[in-house]
Amino acid sequence: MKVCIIGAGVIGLSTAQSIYQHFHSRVTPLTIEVYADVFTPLTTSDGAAGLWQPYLYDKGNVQETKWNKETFDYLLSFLSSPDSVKMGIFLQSGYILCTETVPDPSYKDAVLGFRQLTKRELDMFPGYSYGWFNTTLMIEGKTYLPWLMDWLKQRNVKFHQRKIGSFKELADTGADVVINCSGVRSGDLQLDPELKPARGQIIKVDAPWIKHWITTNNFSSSGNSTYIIPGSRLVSVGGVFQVGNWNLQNSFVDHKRIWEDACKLEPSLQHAQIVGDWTGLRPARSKVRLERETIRSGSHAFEVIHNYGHGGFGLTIHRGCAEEAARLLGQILEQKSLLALSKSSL
Amino acid sequence: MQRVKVVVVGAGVVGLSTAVRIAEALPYCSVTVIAEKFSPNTTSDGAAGILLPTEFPDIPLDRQQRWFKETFDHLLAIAYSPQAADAGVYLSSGFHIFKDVPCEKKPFWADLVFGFRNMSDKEMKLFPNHKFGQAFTTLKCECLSYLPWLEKRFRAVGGQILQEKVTDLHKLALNYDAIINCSGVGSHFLVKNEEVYPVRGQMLMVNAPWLKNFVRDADGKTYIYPGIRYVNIGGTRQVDDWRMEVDKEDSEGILERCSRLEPSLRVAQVMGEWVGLRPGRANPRVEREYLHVQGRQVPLVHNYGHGGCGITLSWGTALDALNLLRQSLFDKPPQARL
Repeated sequence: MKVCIIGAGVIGLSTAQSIYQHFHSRVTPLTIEVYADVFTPLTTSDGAAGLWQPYLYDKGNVQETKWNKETFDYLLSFLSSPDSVKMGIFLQSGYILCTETVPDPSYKDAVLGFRQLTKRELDMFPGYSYGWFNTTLMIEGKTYLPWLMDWLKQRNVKFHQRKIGSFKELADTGADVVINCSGVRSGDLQLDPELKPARGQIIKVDAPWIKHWITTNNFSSSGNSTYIIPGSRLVSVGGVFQVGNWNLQNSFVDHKRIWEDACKLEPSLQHAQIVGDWTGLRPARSKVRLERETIRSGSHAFEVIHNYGHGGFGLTIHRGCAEEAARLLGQILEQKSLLALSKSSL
Repeated sequence: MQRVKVVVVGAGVVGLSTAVRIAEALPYCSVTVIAEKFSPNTTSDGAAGILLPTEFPDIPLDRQQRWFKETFDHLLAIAYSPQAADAGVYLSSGFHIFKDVPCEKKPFWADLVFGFRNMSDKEMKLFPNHKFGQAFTTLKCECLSYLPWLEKRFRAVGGQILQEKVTDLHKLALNYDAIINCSGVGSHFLVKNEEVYPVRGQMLMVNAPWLKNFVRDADGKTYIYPGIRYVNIGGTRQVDDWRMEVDKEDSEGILERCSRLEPSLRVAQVMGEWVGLRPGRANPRVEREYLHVQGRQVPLVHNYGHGGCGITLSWGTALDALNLLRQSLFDKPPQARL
């Protein structure tokens, strides 16, 4: 059984991991290969700040809320392990600010110590009248991805640096199942009008006295909400959310606006040293596409599992989705009667 | 008109805070700070600087609350200004954990910090050896930055600095109209009949920039305080111990206890070690007496004995010291020195 994964961001790598964990002892031989044109540190996941925080509301996508929570609990279980630093996982508290009173977010029970902000706390943030405090996890892509790659390499997962032109291309090389984790560029492989880039730009700053993240929700502006997220070394300051914008160049206009808004929110930033800007394209979609598809090519048919469209919450949701993708693979394997009833000897 | 000559003994956080408050509030005073040690060599410089009071037995609670609130509000305004980085002041959230459930579940300062609440079950799971905990957001004030910031502010209103070890307050009174004694543990030698004793504290500076929240065991002997350039981990509370040298066994004990609370510390590099002597006393001494010198009555305002709460109470006790000075200058205007 040969499984080929397209994409080496957090979704591609974690899906490879889940598949290995569930099936390496039940399917022999099981070959897992990852194909991507970019690897860490050049993927979208690498530039993301790494804050575990879903969007405020899931709009009825309860599956996503479940996958988010599953990811949180999974990461939390590694916090006391000797690997936590190598994985890029740590706790951080912070403030979610809103310009008006709104219902509690979908993830309030997943995080630690979720509570409303007191008036005294809100006084620190002029312009925001409501909000919450909680302690959540950070999961830094530029540390987590190398850790995942090491984990996979140790288990003989092979990596190929190359841009894939079509699912069929991999099927023709012998892939039984193709897993599409190609993020924002999935449209190049299969047209999907629901998938659009949501361009984000962040400014990386040296401001080590800032120990809390701040995310804001301005219900009157058009989705360009300021955020300040300290990482293990630098602080990520953002943000913009420009749907339909494919431009990977840093924009001076965006930089100026982001910086001004952030300094208003956190005056201590004014004396911080700016290190650089980074631009990434969130793979935005009305909901995550996580489903099977059978593709026929002549008399031949092969299976594709799609796992893309995670918007600005890829790191937040990755494990839940990877496990679901593995479950879908399990279905395929059962249908092909490929699953051993008991664990085969290694 | 000749200005009233005030001298502040001690250039730690209490001395400089007091000097700044006096110099800014009383323009008819010329204020000099005289001290043997200055930043970065004061006790304050090594302290982590987390604002966290302890309750003193003999001082009315409302006065202790006032001391803390005054300091908290002052530092909060700095944390929320462009000066925060310069002054080394910022918000810090974390956990105060107890091995056994305490009788006093809500300390007198609970409403003065932000978001004080008991820790949830899920949060307590992070600390399997502890049964109870409190979570809140307070401030952290790093004296390595804050003391130079205070000194700049002091000089900006004409304050003078003298580097000299004071051994005799009566001799000092010959040249000044008022003395403010902020000599910390040095008061043990400087003031007669003294109840100040050292409470030795050792701590380590480690490189662990992924740690953002503080953790403090309520017994006061194990704490993790993430700072700007390193994390302070500690500690010890050795009464009547004057040793300023680093004790290797203490370091090992600190690393072991803190790593149990925060396993990721096991991979953190130790950058340095430091020892400081907290000015221990049953209660901080903030009161005024008079020295009789050559027919003059020189007010001597004491502001020392803050234990491990120097930074925590600095701005508030400085205000009391200022008011004591102001009152005494009004009650007994200084006479001409010979």
